[in-house]
Amino acid sequence: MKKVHYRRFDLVFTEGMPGDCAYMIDKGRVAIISGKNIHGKHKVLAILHKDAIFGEMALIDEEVRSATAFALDDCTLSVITHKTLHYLIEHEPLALTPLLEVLSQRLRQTTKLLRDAMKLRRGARSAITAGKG
Amino acid sequence: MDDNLTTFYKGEIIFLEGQSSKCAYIIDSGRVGIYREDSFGNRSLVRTLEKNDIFGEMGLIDKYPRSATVIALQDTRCMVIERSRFDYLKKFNPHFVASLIKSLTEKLRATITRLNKTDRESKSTQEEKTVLPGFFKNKGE
Repeated sequence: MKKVHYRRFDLVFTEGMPGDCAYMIDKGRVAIISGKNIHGKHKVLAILHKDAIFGEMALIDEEVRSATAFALDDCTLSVITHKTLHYLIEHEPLALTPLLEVLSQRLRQTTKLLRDAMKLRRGARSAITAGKG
Repeated sequence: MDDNLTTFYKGEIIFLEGQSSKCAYIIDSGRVGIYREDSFGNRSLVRTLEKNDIFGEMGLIDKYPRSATVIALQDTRCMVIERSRFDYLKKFNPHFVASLIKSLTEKLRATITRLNKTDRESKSTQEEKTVLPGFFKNKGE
């Protein structure tokens, strides 16, 4: 797997930029923040440590990055491209366990949000019906 | 592998949301429905799965309870994959891992699409903005 190094406070990727790979942390910590401008208002979504995977959505839907990632320490990251993914599937499937875990977790979180959204919609509809009645 | 096959009859509940996860299933024949319940207990069909589809795999991956309820829509024959077999396949069968990633990815995509659609609908239903500005803008990568 290709390794990349980032110095403390280097940007790994920025929200809104196109992306086609995910990263796994070998060394150091990475902060995930939201907000288009890291100098402006932003929210820290997560601080990730060794073995954490991030940026995996780009492997899935190849859409733009939905958050900004920057190095909190001097970091070494493994780059997971489509090619790496297919190589690992064929030769080292167990190495993909963290990716499976992160996908599963994200599916659970998304499902929970969907459930909340459906509840909200139902609530909004009944409020409107009640208003008309 | 025949001894791992089990049959669920039409209408039979295969597992319930919230139960602990002990195995995954691959459909050999028949059809199942994936249902989710909201906090009012309303059960809605999320999707149907058919031959060669896998379900129940999330619990084996992350060891959390079942995230949905699965009910047989027809008489359905499934291959049961216990944890030990799951770990074995993960280690030695690349196609199994590939199909796991594909299956999770498809489910995730479908859920994101539904979430975005529901989000838009609730925004147009409600005058005021909901507290859901889109998951992946907020909590994504």
